[in-house]
Amino acid sequence: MNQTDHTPDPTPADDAHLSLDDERWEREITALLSELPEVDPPDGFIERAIDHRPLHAGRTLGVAVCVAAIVVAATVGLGVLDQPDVVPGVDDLAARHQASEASLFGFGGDTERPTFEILDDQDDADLVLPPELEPKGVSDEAGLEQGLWADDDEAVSVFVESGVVDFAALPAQGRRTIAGLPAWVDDSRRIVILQADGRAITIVGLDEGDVAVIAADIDRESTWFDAVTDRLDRLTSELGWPSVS
Amino acid sequence: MGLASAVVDRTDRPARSQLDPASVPTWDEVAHTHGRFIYSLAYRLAGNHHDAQDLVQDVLLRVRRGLATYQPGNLEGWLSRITTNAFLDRVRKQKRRPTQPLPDDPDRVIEGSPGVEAEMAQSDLPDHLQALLAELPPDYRAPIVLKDVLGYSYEEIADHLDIPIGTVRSRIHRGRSRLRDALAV
Repeated sequence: MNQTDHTPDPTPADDAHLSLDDERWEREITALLSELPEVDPPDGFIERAIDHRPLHAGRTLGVAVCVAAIVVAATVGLGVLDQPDVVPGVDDLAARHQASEASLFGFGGDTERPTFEILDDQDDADLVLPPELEPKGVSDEAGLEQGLWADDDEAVSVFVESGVVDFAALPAQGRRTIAGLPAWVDDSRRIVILQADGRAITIVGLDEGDVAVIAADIDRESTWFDAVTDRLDRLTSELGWPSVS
Repeated sequence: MGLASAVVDRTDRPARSQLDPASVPTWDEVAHTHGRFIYSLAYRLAGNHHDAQDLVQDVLLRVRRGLATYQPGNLEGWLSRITTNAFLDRVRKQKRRPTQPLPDDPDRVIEGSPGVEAEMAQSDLPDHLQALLAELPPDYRAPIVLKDVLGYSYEEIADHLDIPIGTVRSRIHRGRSRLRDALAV
């Protein structure tokens, strides 16, 4: 947390104005509050939280709701494919991201904009994302899934395609390894492509270093997209994502 | 003026933690052993069960992530810090995308219920007091809950909220003043 507060530390003189009656009232308020009993959660609430069952109508714990629309539909039944068969269209994805940003921030431009299903109920998705970075929408067009996150200044898109990235088909100078994952990077356009979980993950709007932080913390047993959403908050808190004024 | 006091016997509460304070607990252990504590704090902060449940979900996720770097020590203090910060994060988020008006106007007067003294004399004093607590601006409510409900020191609260001690004292004082004014109506 980073809060700025200019309230000076109080001095004894600051409290001099308090009358005995004021002090008595404060003590009585304090006494009343101190006697508030603990509040029990609804029956079974904690157990359901542990079991990851819905805690109340229409909600599912945390990340699953945030990413289910994208990840589950695309990954159920998929295994790791051996043969490279995906070459992310970097130019197209960059253009899609720019169009998303334009839609979001009201820029002009003629670029065709993807159709977004805007998340009306932000609460579930927001469970794992920091207040400075909010999910703005998800899009699924012809097997290309896009998730868009943004604060007031910048946006990040995460594109997911099923398959194995053909890194040999991408310019050699961009080939890297990030957190043990085969990757490709375009620094100038802030594009990072990763291969994980039988899917090609293209992130637009983050630097390689930022992605490395996320990728290094991936729980390999969880879906990668879950890990991305789960770690974007770490990015914000540890790497100084621009704060919202 | 005497205030009716609803004294609650807390001696029958089970021991908070059976966990070894020198070890890092598992997430399941934390949820089982401290789930009630987390929920109770969330309720005092959020003001209602629905928001408290959402807040607890958030907290448990944060706990899951945080356990990787948790240094054994004051587990309950760590949990209260996570819970309070999660609450304030949600408040700030709502401010940027408001779905309902927030009682954040510093000049806003908390309306006291008619017949408040009669209400306080009854067993629903805790609910009434909680309702007034929920009317406080979140930046006042959080430190008051930590200080007067949970008994943390000013220094601990300042550390929890990452604000100066002077700010903690002033917010608590202002919050108590508002509660006093509401109870005196």
